[in-house]
Order: sequence, then structure tokens, then C-alpha cells
Amino acid sequence: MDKNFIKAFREVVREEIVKKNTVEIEGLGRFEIVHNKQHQKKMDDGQVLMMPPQDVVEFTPEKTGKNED
Amino acid sequence: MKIDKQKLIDLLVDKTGMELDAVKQQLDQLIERIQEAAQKGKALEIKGFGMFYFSKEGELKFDPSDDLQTEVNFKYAGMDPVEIKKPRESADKQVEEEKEEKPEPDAEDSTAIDSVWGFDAESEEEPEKPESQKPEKKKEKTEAEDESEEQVTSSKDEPSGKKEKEEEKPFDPFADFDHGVIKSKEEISKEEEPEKKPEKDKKPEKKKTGLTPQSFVDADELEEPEKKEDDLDDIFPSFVDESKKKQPAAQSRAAQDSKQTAGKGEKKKKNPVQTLVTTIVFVLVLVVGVIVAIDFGVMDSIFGDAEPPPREVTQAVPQPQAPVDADAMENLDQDPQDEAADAADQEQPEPTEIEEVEEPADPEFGLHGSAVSIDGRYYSIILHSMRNENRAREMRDELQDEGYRAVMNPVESEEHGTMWRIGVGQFETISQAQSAASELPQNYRDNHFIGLIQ
Repeated sequence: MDKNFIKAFREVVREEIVKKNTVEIEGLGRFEIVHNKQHQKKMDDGQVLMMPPQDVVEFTPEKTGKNED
Repeated sequence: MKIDKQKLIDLLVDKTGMELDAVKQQLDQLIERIQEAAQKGKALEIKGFGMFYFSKEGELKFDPSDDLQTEVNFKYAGMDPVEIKKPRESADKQVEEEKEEKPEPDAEDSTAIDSVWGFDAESEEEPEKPESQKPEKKKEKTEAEDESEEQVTSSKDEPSGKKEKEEEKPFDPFADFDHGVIKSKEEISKEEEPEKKPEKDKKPEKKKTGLTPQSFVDADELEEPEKKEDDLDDIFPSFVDESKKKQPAAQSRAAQDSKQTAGKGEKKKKNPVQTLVTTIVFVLVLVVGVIVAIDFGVMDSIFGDAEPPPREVTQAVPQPQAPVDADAMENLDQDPQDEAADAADQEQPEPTEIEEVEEPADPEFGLHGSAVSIDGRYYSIILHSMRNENRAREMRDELQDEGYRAVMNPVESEEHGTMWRIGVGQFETISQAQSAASELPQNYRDNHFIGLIQ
């Protein structure tokens, strides 16, 4: 497989999701950014942490079976 | 906006300059390979992007690479969780540490240990002795106030004689006995204060030295060379000790000799556990006192103020200390009457007094105005986090122009280098910061994080 292609693929998907665009690739799934608000997290030992807000990449696979065959 | 496969291909064509068909083919190939690998139970990693694999449930999963995750999360990169409540265990640990620390100074010299044991024995068995000593000590202090000069010279002799004795201790078992007991009282207060001070990063010392009444400074100076072990740690206690020391040394030594040797014998028999527990309780009470004082923000400001050597400070800044002088005297004067509360009396008044003196120096917290340099830690509402320092400065200035108290702090992050956090406001507590944040305009409110700046 072409290295340049992989590189370009990687960059394009990155750029698009950073722009908050959803990238949907048929046969694979959907990439998008999800924002998690800051929240308090209680640990078992009684410690309470304030977790910072976060933007995370989320990948949702396509419905299984659709593209398997 | 949604990028579907067609759009993606267009973008890829732009990016690579490849033919449309070639791109299509490559993309299909890529998808195929990901699916294949995943179905074989293998993970396929695209470097700098992420890893595709099948979960146990047979779903295709994707884990973004660190690079990608960081890039996506650029706004908040470098932010770490903030502890709001300590874990129970660590709270317990702290107590343990305090307990552990106590034996250390004791172990340093054997007389100290003796005096720890002596604490109980003395207070129970020799109540008359201290009473006879203390009234005189009181007198001496008033004298000291009036004619501190004279006092210096006269007291110089006594303690120095005493010092010699202390130094002899290791060689002369009987001298050891004498002073072991005389000292023990003093040591009780002495030991407790130095013990807790180290735990508090030396700040308490400074507070105390800063407050040491002027009239006692001379005595302190005399003391200093004598007790090298304690050094600056207990300048405050030292003048108390000194006065206690002087009297017994000069007057009731002979009388005490017999008593003390007797008391000493008993002391050794005393249940060590009981005495230890008593001392531990004592130490804890003192530590709590200091913590309270710190909570009031007292220590920090003092820390800054009392930077120069303690003795000079007390001399150079007489005015604020004048009231303290008087109060401190009162407290000390009470000692003779209430010896059980001895150590407590000496310490508890301090924080309250300091508060009065130092309050005006307390930094102001708030959301607006200009940033104040705050010694210690504060919370801020973090609105931006970025790597570019110049950009960060611009952001800060923008916020400042909007009337916010904008602060900018570097945060070292292992994976991202130095991140600059731009926040507004300086707050004493996280809840103050949160309530202030809830009043920010919508665009800031939606995207903020309370950060701890220290």
C-alpha cells in the first residue's frame, strides 16, 4: 500500500475531525470528536478528583454484517 | 459537517495529488486490510493515527494514537486532574508520619528521651517545684522589658554556666540528672514545637521568630550559641526555656537535685506507652493549631515578611510587635498558675496574634482587577491552554483588557513540553472559583476548567 496514501489518509482524517467534522468511511465506521465536560470522579479510597474537560476521538464502527461480505 | 467517503476521497486526491481512481482503490484496500486484520484477531496500527482491532464482542474498535488524541484535545492538553478531596488513606498516612517524626528528634540525644519520659513523671510528682520557679520567671521578664540591657549581661552568666553543664552532660551522669529534669520541662515545649515545625516547611518557625517580642530577643541571642542542636528552630520557645532554665539553675538547683533524682528514678518506671501517648496527643494538638493557622493564610504572608534573619527582624520592626509583646507577656505570665496548659498556652495565642498583625498583607482574591502575586496556591478558571507562549500572552492580555484578572502559568507536561495555561481570577478555594466561573459569559462558561496554581 502506498505510503503517501496512508500518510494523506491520516492527515485528512485528523484535520477533519479537529475541525469538528464527522468522518464517515463506509465499510469502516465513523470518526468524530466528543467533548467530555469536566466532572468529579470519586475513587474507591475516598479521593475525589476533578477531571479536566477533554475532547476525545470516538470511533463508531459500522453496523456489523453490512460490509463483511 | 459530515465527511462521507466521497468527500474523503476528494480531500485525499487534493492532498496526495494522486488520481481519483488510485485513491479510491487505495482507500478500499485500506479498509479491507483493517477489516481483515481485525477479523484475524490482529490489530492494525496506522502510525500516528491509531489502532484498529476487534473487541471481544466482535466490534471494530479504534484507539487513537497519543499524537492524535493530543492534537484533538489541544485545548485542554496539559491539564491534570485536580484533587478535591484527599483519599482517606493518605489522610491516615499523614497522621502516621507525624507520629513517626516525633521519635526522631528524641533519638537525637538521650536527654531528650529522658525528658519525654520525664514529662509525666514531673507533672505528677513535682508540682511544687515549678510553682516556685515560675513566679520568679515572671518577674524576670518584666525586668527584662524595662532593662533589657542589664538583663542581657546578668542573664548571660547564668545560662552560660548552664550551658556548660549541659555540655558536660554526656560525661557527668549526675549533671545529667540535674539537667535532665530541669530540662525536661523545657524540652517538652521545645520538643513539641520543633517537631511540628519541620512538617510545615519551616513556615511556623518564621512566624514565631517574626513575632518574638523584642525584649526577649536578647535572651534569644544568648541562647543561640548554647543550643546548637535546636538552632533557629525554636527561637520562640527558647526564651521561654531560658527563663525557666535560669531560675532553677540559680536557685532551686540544690533542692531539685534530690527531688529530681528521685523523680528520675520514678520516671524510668513509668509506663512508656502512657507517656508516649500523652506526648503524641500533645503533638497532634499543636499540629492542628498550626494547620489552622495556615488555613487562615497566615503562614504564607509571614513567610514572605519574615525572610531576613529572625533576630534582626524583631529589632528592626518594633511597631507591629508592640501589642504582641504585651500579649505574649500575659500568656507567659499565666504559665506559672496553670502549668498543665503550659505548652498550649505558649502556642495557641500566637496564631491569633499573628492574624491581627498580618491580615492586611493577605492577598486579595477575586475575578477582576489585575493579577496579584500570591505566595502559595490559588485556584483559577482556566480558559485556554496552549504551547505557544506568545500566543498565550496575547490571550492573557485580551482577557485582561476585558477586565478579568488574567493569569498565565506554565505547566510542564512530560509529553507536550511546556503548556501555558491562561486563566481568569485568583481564588482561595475551588468552590469560589466555581461560583465565579458560573457567572462568566456563555462562551467561557462552556469551556473552562478550574485549575490549581501553585
